[in-house]
Amino acid sequence: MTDTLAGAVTAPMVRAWIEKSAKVLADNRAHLTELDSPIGDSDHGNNMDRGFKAVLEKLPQGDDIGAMLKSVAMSLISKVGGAAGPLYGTMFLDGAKPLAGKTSLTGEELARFFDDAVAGVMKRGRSDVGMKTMLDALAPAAKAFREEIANGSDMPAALKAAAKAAEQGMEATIPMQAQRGRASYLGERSIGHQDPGATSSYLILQAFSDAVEEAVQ
Amino acid sequence: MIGIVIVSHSRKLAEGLKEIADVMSGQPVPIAAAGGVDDPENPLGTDGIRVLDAIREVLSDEGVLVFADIGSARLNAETAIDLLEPEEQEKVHFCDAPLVEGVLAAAVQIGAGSPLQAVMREARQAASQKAPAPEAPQDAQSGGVTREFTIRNPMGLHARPAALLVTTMNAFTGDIRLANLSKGKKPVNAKSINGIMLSEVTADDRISVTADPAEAEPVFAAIEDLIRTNFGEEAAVASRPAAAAPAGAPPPPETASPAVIASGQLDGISIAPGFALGPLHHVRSTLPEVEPVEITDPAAETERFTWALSDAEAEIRMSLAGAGQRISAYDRKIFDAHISYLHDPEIIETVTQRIAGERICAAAVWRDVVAGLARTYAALEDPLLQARAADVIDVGQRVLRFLSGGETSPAVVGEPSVLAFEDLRPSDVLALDEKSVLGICTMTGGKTSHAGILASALSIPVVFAVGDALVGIEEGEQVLLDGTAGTIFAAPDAETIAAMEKDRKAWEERRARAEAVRKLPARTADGQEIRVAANMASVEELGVVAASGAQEVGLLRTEFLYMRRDSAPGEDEQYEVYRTLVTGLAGKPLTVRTADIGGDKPVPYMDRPAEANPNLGWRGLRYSLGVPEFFDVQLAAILRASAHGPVRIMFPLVSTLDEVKAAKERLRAVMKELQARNLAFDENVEIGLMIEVPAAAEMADVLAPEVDFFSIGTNDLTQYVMAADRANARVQDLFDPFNPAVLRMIARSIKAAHEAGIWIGMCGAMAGSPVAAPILLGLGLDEFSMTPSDIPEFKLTLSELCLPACRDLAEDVLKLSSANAVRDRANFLLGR
Repeated sequence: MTDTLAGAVTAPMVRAWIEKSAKVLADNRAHLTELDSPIGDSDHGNNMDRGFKAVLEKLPQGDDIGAMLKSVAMSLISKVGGAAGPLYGTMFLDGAKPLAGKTSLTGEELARFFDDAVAGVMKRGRSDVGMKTMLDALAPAAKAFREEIANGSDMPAALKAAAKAAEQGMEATIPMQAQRGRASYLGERSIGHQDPGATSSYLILQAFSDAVEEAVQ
Repeated sequence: MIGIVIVSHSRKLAEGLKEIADVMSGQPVPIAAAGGVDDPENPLGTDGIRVLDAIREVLSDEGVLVFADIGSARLNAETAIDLLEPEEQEKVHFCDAPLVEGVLAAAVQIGAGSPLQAVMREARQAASQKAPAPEAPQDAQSGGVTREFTIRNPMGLHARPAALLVTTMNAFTGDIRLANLSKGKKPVNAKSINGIMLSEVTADDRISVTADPAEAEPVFAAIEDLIRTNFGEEAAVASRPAAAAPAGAPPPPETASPAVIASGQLDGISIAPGFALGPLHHVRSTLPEVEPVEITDPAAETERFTWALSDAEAEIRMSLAGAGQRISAYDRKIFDAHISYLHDPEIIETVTQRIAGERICAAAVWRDVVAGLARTYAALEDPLLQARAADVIDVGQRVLRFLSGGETSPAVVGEPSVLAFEDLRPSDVLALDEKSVLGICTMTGGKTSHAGILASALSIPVVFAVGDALVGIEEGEQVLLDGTAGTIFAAPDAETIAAMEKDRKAWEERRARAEAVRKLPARTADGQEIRVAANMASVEELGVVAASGAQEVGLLRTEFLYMRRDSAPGEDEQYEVYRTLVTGLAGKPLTVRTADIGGDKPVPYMDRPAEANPNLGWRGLRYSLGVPEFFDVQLAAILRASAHGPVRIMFPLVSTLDEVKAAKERLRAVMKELQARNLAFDENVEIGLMIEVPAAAEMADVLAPEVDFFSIGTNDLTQYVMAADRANARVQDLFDPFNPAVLRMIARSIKAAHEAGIWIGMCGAMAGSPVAAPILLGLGLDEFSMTPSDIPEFKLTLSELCLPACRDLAEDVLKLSSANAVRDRANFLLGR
């Protein structure tokens, strides 16, 4: 483990993250669908799994992180089918825009990736934190990551903190009343259920943390 | 062409919708279906990239509209638009409309060639046009008092009854809601003509009316009153057709031979009898397309819109005045309904809000709203209500004309022709020049349509509903229109023409003879000369009056000066108008009646109190004397015009000697003021008063020494003598100037005038009636003032009469006991 490695996220790490995300989402397909049944269409697990399988098929070779993430975005937009498609698609697309041609990312660049990604989801979903959506996991994670980087933490530690914040955000959706998407139709009855979108967001961020952790060890 | 992209969770839905839209648009509109996802097991969902490809498939410079069903479809549609290149993006718009209705409306609009913004608006409104717009929260309801009624008149609340209801309800200040309980409609504003008509109240429907507790009782009483009188419906309908045949119309022709019927004949409905042979001219009448133009100042645009509405109203009122006796008081109600549209709070609110919200020119918004409304009417089940679509388009066009500044008048033809309309509008009838139009035929329309009722009073043949085949007759082709049988022959053969030529000749000969005496002095067969004058109600009529054969203007109605504006015209402005008229008449005397504001001619800026009985209220000279600053301005302007040619001043609705004296005093005061200002006028200007209140007729001998002349207004005189509202269809048999009671009033007035050595004329409807001519002549009337188009036939009738016979007739009819007996006796003399 060197300072250089710990201070940056490389193209292979991003590829590993994407592959790990696909695997985790496939493993959690039933779990996500189960979370989605009381308050959604019972299709989130299936949709995310289908989307990330397509992501793997289309993922370009090479070390261009921007190109990889854009490809992820396009596959998700095309293949997820539900609202998660355009939302995750926009997240990766907007996050990846400044990263075209980059083969490794500094802490600052990654912090910006998260900020742009969160802003993209907010714009697309016309939503904000506290509405019982994936933003409840993503936004605290982006904030935690930026704080860790500012405090001088290394990349694995910062990503770990981000994943932890996402997990807490995900759990925080349980008592919330949904204000966006199908779940919002249920009104108060959406209270007491963990949001499947926040869950998949946590899973993807945890996969990022794990992938980078594994790579630097 | 503008493209459409359908984004749906279901591929089947998207493709099925495309299929319907393809058929409905009538044109190959580029439509791309982007439904479902590529997963055979879970095919429901949306694919943003498929949407992106679909957009590019139908993208052109004219733009693309993207429609989506629910949730992720919309998100994916927006994502796809974001993925476009910037120069592509600006041509693509997400259209937030209900998917099925929106796409179909858009496809139809695109097929019809509408611009993008118009298509978007149509699409967005597609769902709301299924039903009247929901009403504002019903706070008034909670505190209101509700009562139920059953509507009994056979045709329900269609245009005229609805307009009558709206007019009646508008007299109340509070919120009034009406709900059609039988059809389960939502409560609507009872002051909104659309709300009421879209409630589709037909005979025997149960309605509920909710009103403010403070005025609930009078509101309910007014409604009960309307219901009891069947909204003026029944009697009028029953009494309609008999009088439709114009005087002098030939008898129905012999049936044409079967051989002829087989060749080139189209059958329709007879609306007005008569024959016409001439070239066919197709007249198009649809709502013109309006390009939506962006505006920067919604307030100014709203003001322009408000002006256009009041201009349109003024125009309707003026053409009504110009139509004179061509239409009855009952028919006038049709145009009252048109005017109601111009005052409809819902329509005005919608247009105003959209001007402010969308920042688009008023013309485009108005066209859009009116088109939607017309479609809504056309889609209703009741044929009577369907027919209202034509009225809406009629009013819509009129306002559009003012908004776009164009002054095109309808139905202009060079050579006299038979006009072919798809559907005749009421305003087409009013605008017709019966001298240059030989006849009228239409593809659609019925007797009960407003245009049908109006056209039935025309003196030219009118045939409705001959079908689409009418389009097949080429422009300019010879046609023979038989208004009596309700048929039209395209390219008639010699035999057909000959079969009808004889009857047509008799008919046309009479018309030609009338035309021939038009310019000659009006003279009886035994050489007695009579003064024939014209009635006028605008500067625009100057040309018509000049060519009419009138030797003077017996009545200039001045209300037009006050109608199309937001404050009363000043002295100089009025003077300019009167001077133009005096100069234009080149020596023919002009009789100016001072304003008869009030009654049924309200002027908004005058801020007059509402009157329960306006015809018996503060109108005519009563108003003028009550508002001297208003009266003086008009008197000064008329006097100044008298410096340029012969002018007479006439006071309307005089009841007492004191009024006449007071009016003359004002006149003298104004004269003094003009002298002080060194302004020229004719000091010997003739002063007259109208005999239209029974009190004035009875006291004519007392009034006569005060003035230089009288002029009898038969409409009001009849209304007041018979105590019969001329707008109330149920009492139309009483509203008849031939009633001996009215004739005795006229006789008394004429006698009083002559004994006092002054002359007396008549400027009411009766003056132009050929049947009345021998009676009035016999009574000694000096001047007959009428609608210019009545003059030729009047002069012809006159030329066939001898004065001694007329005097005997007049003496006789005053002893008769009924209007019909009077008419019979007069017709006998006339040989009819």
